Amino acid sequence: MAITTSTLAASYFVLDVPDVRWTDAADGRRVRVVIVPGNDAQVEFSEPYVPDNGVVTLRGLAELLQPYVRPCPTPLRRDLVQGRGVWLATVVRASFTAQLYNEPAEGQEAQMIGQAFHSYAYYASRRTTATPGATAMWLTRYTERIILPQQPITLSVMLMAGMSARYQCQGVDSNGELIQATVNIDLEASNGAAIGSAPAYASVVHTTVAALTEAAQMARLHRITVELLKNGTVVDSVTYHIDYSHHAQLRIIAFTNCFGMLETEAFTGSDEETTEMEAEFAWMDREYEKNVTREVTQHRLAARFKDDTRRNSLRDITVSPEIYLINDNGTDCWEKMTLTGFEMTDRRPHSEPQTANITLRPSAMYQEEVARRGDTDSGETRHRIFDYTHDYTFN
Amino acid sequence: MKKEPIYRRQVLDELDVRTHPDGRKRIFSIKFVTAEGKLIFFPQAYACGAGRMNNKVFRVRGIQACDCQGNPEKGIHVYPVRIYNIIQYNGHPVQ
Repeated sequence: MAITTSTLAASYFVLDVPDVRWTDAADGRRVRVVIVPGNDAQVEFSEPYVPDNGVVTLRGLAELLQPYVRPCPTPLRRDLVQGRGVWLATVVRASFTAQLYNEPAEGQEAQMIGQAFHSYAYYASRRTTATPGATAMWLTRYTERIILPQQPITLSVMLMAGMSARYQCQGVDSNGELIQATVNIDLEASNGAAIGSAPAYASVVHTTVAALTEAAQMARLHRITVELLKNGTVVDSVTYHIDYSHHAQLRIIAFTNCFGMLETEAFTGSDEETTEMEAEFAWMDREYEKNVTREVTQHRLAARFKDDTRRNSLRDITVSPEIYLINDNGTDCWEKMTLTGFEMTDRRPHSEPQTANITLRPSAMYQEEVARRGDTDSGETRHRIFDYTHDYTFN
Repeated sequence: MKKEPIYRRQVLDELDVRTHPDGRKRIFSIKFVTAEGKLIFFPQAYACGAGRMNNKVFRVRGIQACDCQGNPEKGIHVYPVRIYNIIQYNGHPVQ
């Protein structure tokens, strides 16, 4: 039994996984396919198939595998505090085993007469990228974007042999003269993994405008082009324009983009904080009493984006498995948030900036929930409802 | 002779005044960088609108090269210039 490898590359972004076909199964009665997604042997899909003219085709693998290919099980901040880091465990392998069974005689069980095993690497992605995972490219939606100087610059790439990267900076010196400078990037972060021809892990390039201005020895940066090279040839680039506008209110959100890699967006509009109290009530000892009180604080952030390329990136925020609120200095004190609301207005033609509002709440702590505990029959916890400070209505 | 640097807000204030009291266009020299990274110097230019967008919100200004009488130079279009990409105005470096 053979597998048709013409449709399969060594690695894929998960939504690009094509159908897998086994051929040459005509001599068997049925094929049992076992799929083990990820590195977790606890999860296994097993399904018998009856070959159609000797061919077994598995369809819809992308949807099946996607929940198991999740990026970054470690907190984002830990990798990025040191300036650049390695996005570990982004690559997940899935193995396919096709077991071929014979046609059993009456009263006997079918015997396995052949087995084919294949393993492929998959990367987190929430859209079809039409590019195999082994393509040398910056894993971002943008080729050009406007950023604020407080906003961290994050770019990721599937690291392969022969890859290098550099910043091409353009700005002015202290005399007001236009100058250009090149700052090289060390893509091989120190995790000690071997870099082969196929990508093994993603490298995250992370810097700030201030750090880059200092490295390029400029007074002010205008434009940064981050070039990705393979074997000395530029294969991809992303250009950043720096917007030095003053914003009284600035909140920067870090999230994972469509490739499952780190991205940031700045919200410069009004920042509202609202607090609501919710309570649950129940009958206790023939009295109607409050047994749980929650105080929930939400942050509402607003933004106006001057370039019209933000739409899909903002939608990435809504499906990002992790969202962090970055404080002003950009590198530490990332607070993990949970998105609870999202609104976006996009007028065409783009005579006005796009506007977006998101609502977040801190997810690290469950906010102020206190419930009645213990055995209510003993009477020990009776009237010990925690929260007399907010609500006396039912106490 | 090297001129003193001026602040960007002073340049923007200058660009907001389009004409002299007698109606003549205010002409200045300007050096800026385009979005593609190209350095451009106009010895004579005047300020105008940059497309239909809200110039204040999008942080741009329109710059048109002209002759000494304020007639637009043939073949040179209005440049929408990011205000942070202006690096010299009337010979003054812009801070």
